[in-house]
Amino acid sequence: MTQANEERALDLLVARATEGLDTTTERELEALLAKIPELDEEPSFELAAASIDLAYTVQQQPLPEALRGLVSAQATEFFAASSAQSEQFPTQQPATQQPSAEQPATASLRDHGTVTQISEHTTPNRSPEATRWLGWLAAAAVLLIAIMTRPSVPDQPAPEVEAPIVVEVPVAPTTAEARAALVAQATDLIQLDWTATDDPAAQVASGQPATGDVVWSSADQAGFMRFNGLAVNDPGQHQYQLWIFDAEQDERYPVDGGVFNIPESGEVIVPIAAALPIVNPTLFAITVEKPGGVVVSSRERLPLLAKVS
Amino acid sequence: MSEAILPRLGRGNPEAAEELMDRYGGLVWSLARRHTRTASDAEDAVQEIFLALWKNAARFDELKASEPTFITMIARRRLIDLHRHRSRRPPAEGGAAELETLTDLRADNIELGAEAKQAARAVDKLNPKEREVVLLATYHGMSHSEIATHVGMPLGTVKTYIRRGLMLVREALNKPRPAPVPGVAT
Repeated sequence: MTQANEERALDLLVARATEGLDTTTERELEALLAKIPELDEEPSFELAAASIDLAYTVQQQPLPEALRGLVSAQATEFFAASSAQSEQFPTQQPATQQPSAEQPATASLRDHGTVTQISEHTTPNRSPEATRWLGWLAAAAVLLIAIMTRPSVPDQPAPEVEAPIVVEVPVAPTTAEARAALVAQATDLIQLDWTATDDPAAQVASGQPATGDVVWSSADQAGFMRFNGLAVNDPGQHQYQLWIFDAEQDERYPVDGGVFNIPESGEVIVPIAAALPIVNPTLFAITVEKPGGVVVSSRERLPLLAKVS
Repeated sequence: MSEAILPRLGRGNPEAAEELMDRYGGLVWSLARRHTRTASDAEDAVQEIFLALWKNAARFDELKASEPTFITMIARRRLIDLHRHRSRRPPAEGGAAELETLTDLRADNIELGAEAKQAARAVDKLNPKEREVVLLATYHGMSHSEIATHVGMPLGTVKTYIRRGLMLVREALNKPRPAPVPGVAT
């Protein structure tokens, strides 16, 4: 194991504990830790970061009452489902799947029919009180299902095959699905095709420059880049970085849209990770930078551009 | 010192969920508000954090972390994930003056966790610039590139400062501490 790999693994562990990793770098870290597991020993960098955060955290506000009521209803739902499941399958592994810790809980709760948005800003027609009752109703529905699916007469033998309680499990959307959802739902979507320059990264195949597009919604502060034919990069040598020019900001300082890799040929979709809110984007530019990206790009290598006309 | 809640939660005791909110609801809400841009985002985050806590309660090990630190770690994991799926929060406006205020406030907060006290001591050993960078990365939740822009430093220097700060805290946490009384949070 080289010193460079160890350094890279430590950098990624620190990044994971403070700003998170994208899927590509997470996989890279997993591969490195498989070779040097001692780097991830306890206490972890995550625990260190959490300890600092906690040391400076001052509890100024209690949990809002309406939000507490909603979480309480969700807890009832969660533990009722777990309890019913363990009663039905006491000796088996849980048949009722719970959402993965890595999946967005809000999405799963929405799929369960539980109202999750209680902000007066986002749901002006629904009072917190009404929301709380809806949450309780959802929990009550789950309890009712749990009761109704139990054997009704204890003395009777249980049927050989009994339908399990099924809690719908939302599958975390793929990047492609997330992009499709944004395209379908955003009302202010910008969609632009990339224009390839003469940079070698965009001219891998002779006569076939890299193509693809970028979509962005300022309302959602979300977007995706799609690439076809952009050169596969070695993350240890260089990485791609997105820059977003915003009409509301000084054009000398475009917003960092995230550092990313092209791990394979064929279509690659990358979510945009804008470092600052983007209000009125005018230009999206891809540069080739050193590993980890840069704060200010020299723009020496600029393989792709997408300009708002 | 009060009885730890997570072990009972891990055994599926629903009443423990209410106790968890009683004791740590304010902490979770404070973390969520600080690490998200809007109240609506914070509300979503709180729900995700509590779900993650219910699911991960059984993994809590008092020998590795105190209860509030474990909860903060789970909360941060969800908040960082949310950051990566949504826009990042605007850069903090505070500079040295805010850090002084934070230091003043910190003393009242020590009871929140044994590790927090050790971490605060370790952070105090950093020079002011290093401390500022480390707090921007942890307490303020800024990305490394945001910090570089905010403090006018090369990204590499920012990364070095953060790494040094976290390693120092890691070393501090690695020092032996009193074994917890079974079922009692430290």
